[in-house]
Amino acid sequence: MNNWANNKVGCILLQEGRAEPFNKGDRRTHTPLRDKEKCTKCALCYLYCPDAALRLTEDGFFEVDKDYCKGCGICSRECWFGAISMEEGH
Amino acid sequence: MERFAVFVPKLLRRQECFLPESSRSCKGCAEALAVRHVCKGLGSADVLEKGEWMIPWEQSIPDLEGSVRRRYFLPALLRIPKTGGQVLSICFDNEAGTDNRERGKWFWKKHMPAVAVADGIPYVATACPSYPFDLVAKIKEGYSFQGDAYIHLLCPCPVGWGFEPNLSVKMGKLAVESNLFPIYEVVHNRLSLSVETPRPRPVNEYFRTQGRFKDLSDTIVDEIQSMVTQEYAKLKSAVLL
Repeated sequence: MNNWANNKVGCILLQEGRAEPFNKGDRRTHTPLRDKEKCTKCALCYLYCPDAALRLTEDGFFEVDKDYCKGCGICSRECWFGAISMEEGH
Repeated sequence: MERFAVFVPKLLRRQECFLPESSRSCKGCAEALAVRHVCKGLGSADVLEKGEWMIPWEQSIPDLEGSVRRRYFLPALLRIPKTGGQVLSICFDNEAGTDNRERGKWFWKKHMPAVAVADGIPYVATACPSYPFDLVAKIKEGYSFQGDAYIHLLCPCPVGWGFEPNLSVKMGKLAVESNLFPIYEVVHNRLSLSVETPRPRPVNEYFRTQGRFKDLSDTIVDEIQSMVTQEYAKLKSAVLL
């Protein structure tokens, strides 16, 4: 998969076409981090994620798919229990 | 799902028709969220493939003075044909095209649901992705309804409206709770409110969190507040406009 970070200055796409070959997650500046002790598995973060980046794992928690997460922070904001914090960095 | 008094997000169908691979949206885009829930409501990808995205449409009409033209924009519209020749139209309104600052004067955006009701469409509803269960239920109802249907969605846009991307769900809730965008459904001209707001928030709270309303003076906000209260009282007595 191509990387947005490898692009020339100004993020100019040299080949025409869709953004499909590009990784959606690598322009993220903040990464969600889940505190499994506070999480009640209510799935509210899954409900409000605009990029459908949260996937259900076998133990019942919703894990962030880092290929698709753009780091908007809606999950952290909407979590009732404060279980998701946004960490700076990729 | 209908058996439970409380909505349980885990029981929503988990299959995604919305493809994040081809999504080029900005971060925190509520329109992408709306599209995702519309796909969940419609059920399968086959239904969506029959749908047709319309190009935003612009209409210019001369003002009373003749010289100045006012423009009305239609935001992105998704038309999905149903069995029997009827159409389900879904409007994704991010309030971007409403050129409502002409000549330093403010005017209201076009009330599209009222236009649809006046046009004789039997099922008209408004919804917001901040209330996903309501949205999914309305999409399902609109798709299975006998006759044409029109659904108007308010999609907050962090870039256009000027707020932090993590506030976009909150912004939709503020718009509904301050009665600026009441959520209702009109079936055969019978109006019923989906979300009741017994103690509405002041509209100021909604306006002051957005960059696009920076130059809105307090007198105009008071004017808007009285207008909104008036409009909501009308909706309460089941009269649209």
